[in-house]
Amino acid sequence: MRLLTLMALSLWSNSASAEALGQFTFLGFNESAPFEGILFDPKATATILADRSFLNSDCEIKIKYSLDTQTTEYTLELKNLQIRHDALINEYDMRTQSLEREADALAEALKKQSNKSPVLWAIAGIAGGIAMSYGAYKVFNE
Amino acid sequence: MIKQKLLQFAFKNWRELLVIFCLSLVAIKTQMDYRALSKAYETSQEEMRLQISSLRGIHAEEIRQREEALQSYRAAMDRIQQNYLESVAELEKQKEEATAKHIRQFSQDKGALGNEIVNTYGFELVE
Repeated sequence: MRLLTLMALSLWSNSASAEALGQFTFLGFNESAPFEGILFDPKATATILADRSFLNSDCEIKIKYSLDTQTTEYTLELKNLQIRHDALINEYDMRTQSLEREADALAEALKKQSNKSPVLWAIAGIAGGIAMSYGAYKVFNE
Repeated sequence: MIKQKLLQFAFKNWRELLVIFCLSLVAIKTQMDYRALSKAYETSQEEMRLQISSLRGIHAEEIRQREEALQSYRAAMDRIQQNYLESVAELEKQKEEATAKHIRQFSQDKGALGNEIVNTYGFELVE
């Protein structure tokens, strides 16, 4: 039974196959490696392999989380803006209706005060004023 | 008798009575104008009260809707966080299983492990 199992991954090879991506081999206990390199035990090798295999899934999960978070935040922002917009429209409608009612009420009150033929009343007022002034002059000069 | 006295009094003091009548006309007209102004002021005041009341209602509705949106946001964030943690845990579990499989392969099936390394990294297997 092998107590120690080793694997070598070459990172800086001076051999003729330096252009290749890299080399690896399986070693038994006290066996010598055919090239210089770094040795990982089976657990480290398995971890490296597994990490590489699930790199995409890891990225996808993080991207999905970020996108979902951003979507939710923007949805809230949009909803708040929509709510504000609706409130402003309601406020505008309410103010407009209120001002219209007030204007109508004031116009109605003014209509009661206004004469139907203001020119005639103005002429009558001036004539009356002249007559009263003349009459008062005559009366108080007696 | 009284009527005769009143007529005598009126004929005797017609100027003063005329002045009092004119002053009364002015007073009545002033009172009518004042009432009209007062009514206009009341109308404005009533509309202002209505506006304030409506504004309060609109504001309360806006706050209620914002609160609802905020609760919805919090629930969505909680759900996202929960999903994320579940996914991370699931991935971690899969990683552990893959790691265990590779460790087993080292002792049971070196060829498969070698192929895995070659396929994953493109390294060359040296015997």
